[in-house]
Amino acid sequence: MTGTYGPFMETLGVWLVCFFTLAVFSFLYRDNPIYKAVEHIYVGVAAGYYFYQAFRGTIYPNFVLHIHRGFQAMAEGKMDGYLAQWRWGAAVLGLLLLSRLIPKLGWLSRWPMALVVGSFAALNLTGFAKANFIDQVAGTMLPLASAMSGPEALPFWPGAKAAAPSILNNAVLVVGVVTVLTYFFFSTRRAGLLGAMGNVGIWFVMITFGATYGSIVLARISLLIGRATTLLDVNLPKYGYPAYFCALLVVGCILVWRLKFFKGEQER
Amino acid sequence: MNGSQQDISTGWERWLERFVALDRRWIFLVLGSVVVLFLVVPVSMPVTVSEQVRAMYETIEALPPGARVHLSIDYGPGSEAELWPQHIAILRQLLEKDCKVICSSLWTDGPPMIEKAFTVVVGQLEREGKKKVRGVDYVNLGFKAGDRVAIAKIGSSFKGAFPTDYQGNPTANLPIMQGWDTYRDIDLLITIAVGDPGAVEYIQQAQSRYGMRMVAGVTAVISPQLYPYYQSRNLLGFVGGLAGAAEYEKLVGRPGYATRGMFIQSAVHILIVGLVLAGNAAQFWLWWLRRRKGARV
Repeated sequence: MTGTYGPFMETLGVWLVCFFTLAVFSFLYRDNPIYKAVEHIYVGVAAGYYFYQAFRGTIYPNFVLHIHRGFQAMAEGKMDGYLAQWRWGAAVLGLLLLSRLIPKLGWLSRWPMALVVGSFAALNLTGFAKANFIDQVAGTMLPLASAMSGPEALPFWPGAKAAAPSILNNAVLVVGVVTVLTYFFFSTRRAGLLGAMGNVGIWFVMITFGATYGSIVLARISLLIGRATTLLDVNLPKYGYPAYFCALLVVGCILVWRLKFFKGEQER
Repeated sequence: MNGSQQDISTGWERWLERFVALDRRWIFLVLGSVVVLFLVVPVSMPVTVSEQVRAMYETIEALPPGARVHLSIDYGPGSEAELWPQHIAILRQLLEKDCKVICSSLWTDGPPMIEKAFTVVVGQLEREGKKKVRGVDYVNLGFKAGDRVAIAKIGSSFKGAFPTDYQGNPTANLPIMQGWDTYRDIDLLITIAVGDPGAVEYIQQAQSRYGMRMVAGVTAVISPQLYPYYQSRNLLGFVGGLAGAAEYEKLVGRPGYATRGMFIQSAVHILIVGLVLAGNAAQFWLWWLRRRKGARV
């Protein structure tokens, strides 16, 4: 809590944080009405919030305000005011996207959609080609010894210095790229040298999957630590120990539901 | 196999079957208990700074006073646990170095995170006697829809993409926005991002297009995707997840929330590795017992 609200709103916020967090955690026991209710509230609030932010951040400043200022400039006889009116065209294209809601006029949405897809594809293509292809190819062309001269120069390569960790890293990277590309080379039967390289490649792929899975575990545990930290940090006497009371409330509600309303047969 | 040997084997088998079919809720309970235990009883552990985190710190440290930095906050409260510590550490470092911080977001829930971070960091600096003024030293331009298209638009004209800031002030009138308008005038691009649109999209649409200097702070899930871009120097450095944030906190000399979470993270990881090993060992043992029994019957 950053303290930008009054004490009542701050306390209410803290209680809501505790209740909603524990209600969502109750899903770990099993699907239950408390979780369901909180899930529906979240979806509703999020939809309203996203709509508001989209209007406030894009439609209002980029269209409403622009057109309004355009009219003011037109009234003063300035050319800028007339130029501002081209945004009506963008607004009409935006509205045409909604024509899908009327089946007979649904085809009209294809025009703005074509514009979106075309511009998106063109932007993606140029950005992707540079960052994900050209730069990556260049990034793989690595020296296996750094070009330096001096007393530490390698005896078999005059003018090169042995930088063991970086040489090893570079070698692993180059071998990894080449063998993984070989593994995904489907134009010929993988046998002999190609087969051996492909087998090495699959090991690189598996290690990558393992590292990615490890990162996902790291991230999920971080989220758990985050929620637990919040619950403990706001569980203060000045707020009336919200975490304890909300935990009791959630557990109590689940107990009542389990004993009174839960139909095991139906759920199975 | 005599009778007593068979009994022992059946006993082990029954025990292993129960272990393999353990209700996962017991695992949740143990994990939750470990987290709460070490939050209540904090234990510190040494943090080793990795190369990419140090590179990011040094890139920001090398900025001259008055440098313009575009800080794109592309996450919401759902990722606060991982990204908030990075956000605070980086923002404070930038403002301490007297950089001009221009914040925006490609996520609808980003602008309130920007506001919250400004409230915290500007408040801290004010208490230390360093006054920072909104619209002069920092600005929140708010949310912009459009994903990659929005990045391209921001790059070609900040004032065109954001006619007003988050408070509704015309950006053209703000002192911080005077005398520049495109990515060519920005000294460093930083994104603190949770997914798409985020770091990869900024690399493709801003860094590679304008040849900008760029660093990123991301969640642990995203960080493996960024190593190739770090290798190819598209990214000059990056911070990944809570562990990266703890390393960054060590570099800026202000241990905080991320450092506090490191021992818990390590304890839970040891527990998970132990459970994975135990589960696999039990499965193999069970398989071996059944195979042996099947062969003898």
